[in-house]
Amino acid sequence: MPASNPPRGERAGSASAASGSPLARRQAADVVQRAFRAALLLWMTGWLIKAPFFLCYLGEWSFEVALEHPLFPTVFLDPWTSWAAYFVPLIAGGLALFRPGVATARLAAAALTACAAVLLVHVNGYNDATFLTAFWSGVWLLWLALHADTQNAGTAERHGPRLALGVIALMFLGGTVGKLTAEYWSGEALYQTYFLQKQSWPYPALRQACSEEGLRLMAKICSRAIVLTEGLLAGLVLFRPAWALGAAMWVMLGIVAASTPWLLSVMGPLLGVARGGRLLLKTSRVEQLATRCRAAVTSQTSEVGPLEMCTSPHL
Amino acid sequence: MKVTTATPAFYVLLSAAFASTLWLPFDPARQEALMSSRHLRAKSFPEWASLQLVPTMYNFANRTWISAEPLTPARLAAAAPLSETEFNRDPLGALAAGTYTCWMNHYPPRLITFGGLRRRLYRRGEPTYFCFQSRFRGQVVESHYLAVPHSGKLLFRAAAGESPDAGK
Repeated sequence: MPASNPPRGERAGSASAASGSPLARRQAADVVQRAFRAALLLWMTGWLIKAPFFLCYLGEWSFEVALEHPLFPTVFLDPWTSWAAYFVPLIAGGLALFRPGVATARLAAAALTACAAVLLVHVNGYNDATFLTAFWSGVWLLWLALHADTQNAGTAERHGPRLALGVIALMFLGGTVGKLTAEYWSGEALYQTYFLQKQSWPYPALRQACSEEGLRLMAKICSRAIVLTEGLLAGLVLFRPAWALGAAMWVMLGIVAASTPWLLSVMGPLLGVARGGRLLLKTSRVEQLATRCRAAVTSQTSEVGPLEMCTSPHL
Repeated sequence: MKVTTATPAFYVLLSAAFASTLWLPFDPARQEALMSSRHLRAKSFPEWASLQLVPTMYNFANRTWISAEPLTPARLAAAAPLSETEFNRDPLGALAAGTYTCWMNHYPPRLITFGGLRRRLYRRGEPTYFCFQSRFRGQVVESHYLAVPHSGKLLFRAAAGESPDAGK
């Protein structure tokens, strides 16, 4: 392995894992599996956060009154399909969390991606953005699980953070592009949907305290801030995953804090992807350091001793 | 799919989705197709399902009108804001009294399909009339539906109707 200077936190881990010793490959695979479990845990959090509602809605109301719509094939109108699609990921995801392994990770990722896709095109779930972010995050998880073995862990470390950023950016690009319309830029859509209609805090209090002009101004400011924030998150794809994934996590947590905890059902899977991508990066740095140490020991040409390299805060 | 092809395939998928999303503001036909799909309208289910994968979280300016009577221009024009009524507490009582309208953050049909309102509409025992409208950069898509209770199911049927903007 040459002791050249790869970009920090991006490529070194994969190169060393791909061409390194069996021990390095095994360590890389461990890293990928750890990243997978962290991402899966947040994916499951998002899936479960609205469980009390989904238990009533998918488990009771959908059976009590089924819908019939000419667009949908029978299977995607059947309440049993949506009920099963909501439950299978709980079992498959739980299995992958408590019985870790490459095979269980692949099985779980395939199951939860397929179930999110089913709910996304089912009459009982098509409108919930939870299933959209769960689907795209599931694709990333499936890709990661396919690369969780010793042979392919290097590829996961090299491409995982960039693909994670791509998934997150895509979700917010869709959000911001669809709001590039006069009704959002003027704040009218937000004014009507939230400031006038919402019965939950803080909107009733705002209606009591503010004039119509004041509410409209607030709506305009919030609406433009939302469009710009989503645009910023989409634009992060142009930057290095090393800090862009961290920035994305903080911004997404901020969005949840500023709106409602229920939004975690939409953000949870994306937070999982960001967290998983960051874990791959962090371990890439450790791997990079180890690679440099190995190179220094092997070549004996380094200007500083191996021990100094290993403890250098600059690496 | 082989592991060796999974990575380029994922990059291609993401790139295609990025390009498709970025192209939306410049393609009126695509805007119409996407807004129609959010009203549960498409030429076929596979086409609709493929549009569902396009990320459009909380997109477009969306409104819904709901009434126990056919949505004539007069009823659409006189619709009361749903938030200012007892609709949440007693939708059937409210429906008996008039026509209502509200803005939705996305997917206007979810007012009926998602959550518990479908049970109340079923118990009503009579058809309920809906109009959905979505706007994006001057494009407007409108859909009229009839929800009919029948044998344990709520049947969605396309209905004829006037545009809510006809009288403006």
